[in-house]
Amino acid sequence: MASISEEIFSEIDRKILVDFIHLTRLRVLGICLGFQFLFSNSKESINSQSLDLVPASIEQLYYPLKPSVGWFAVKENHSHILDIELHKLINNIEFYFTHSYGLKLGESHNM
Amino acid sequence: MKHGADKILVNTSAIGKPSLLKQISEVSGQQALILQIDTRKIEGKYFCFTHGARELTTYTLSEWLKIAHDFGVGELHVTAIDSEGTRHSFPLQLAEQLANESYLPTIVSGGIRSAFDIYNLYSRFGINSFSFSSILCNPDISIVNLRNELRSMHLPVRQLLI
Repeated sequence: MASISEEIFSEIDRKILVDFIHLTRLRVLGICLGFQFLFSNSKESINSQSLDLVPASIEQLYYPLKPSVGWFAVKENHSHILDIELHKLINNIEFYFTHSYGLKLGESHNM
Repeated sequence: MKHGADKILVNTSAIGKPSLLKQISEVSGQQALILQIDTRKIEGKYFCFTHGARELTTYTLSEWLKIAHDFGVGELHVTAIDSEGTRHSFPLQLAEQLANESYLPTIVSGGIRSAFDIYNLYSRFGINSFSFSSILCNPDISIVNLRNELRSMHLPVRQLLI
């Protein structure tokens, strides 16, 4: 979604959002584009900057380009990070994914 | 897309103007573009049809698949015209051709008659997405029973939350 993500990345006031995230005591859960926005940048939208809260890039998943489509289980990597109710709600539950760009596991920094 | 659609499915308009595929892909992203392919075997080769599977085009399936890959299609929905709504199963020759000539996620339809049809296509050709309707008109087949039967064949069927 190249042009749509460029619209989002260019409109959001990154500084206010980054400051808010640092100051707030609330944990931040990024979903879909929200997840990708937490990282340094995305190769899907090379002229835009993300929040850079996690030093890694969102990259094309497959070469040649094809989307990752289908139902995949979401797993919590580290215990006790998610609220217990949220953990029960989503851990090992399958969600529908459709995306051509994402975080390659080699750069996950144990997220 | 602005009104909430996640994906666009095209057939006739794309065959008439293949560059439309690239335009849609560039605007909405490759993952949002599904190419509908209606196909039938004619003299040993699969050809593509438009206008609700009524009009034959000059594209063979091979040619159209190559264009689809080159022009940014994200997913395929392939309908076997001759087996759709009949007692015939989805043709294995077509499944094999798709497995050999495409690396895109693919949904197949037309001739999905039973759990065994699904099992056959999955285990032999790696096809993991199926679109069907006629099978559910059989009062002896329910979607729940179908899912359970597939699970008993060790297919990775998603658990329903309800």
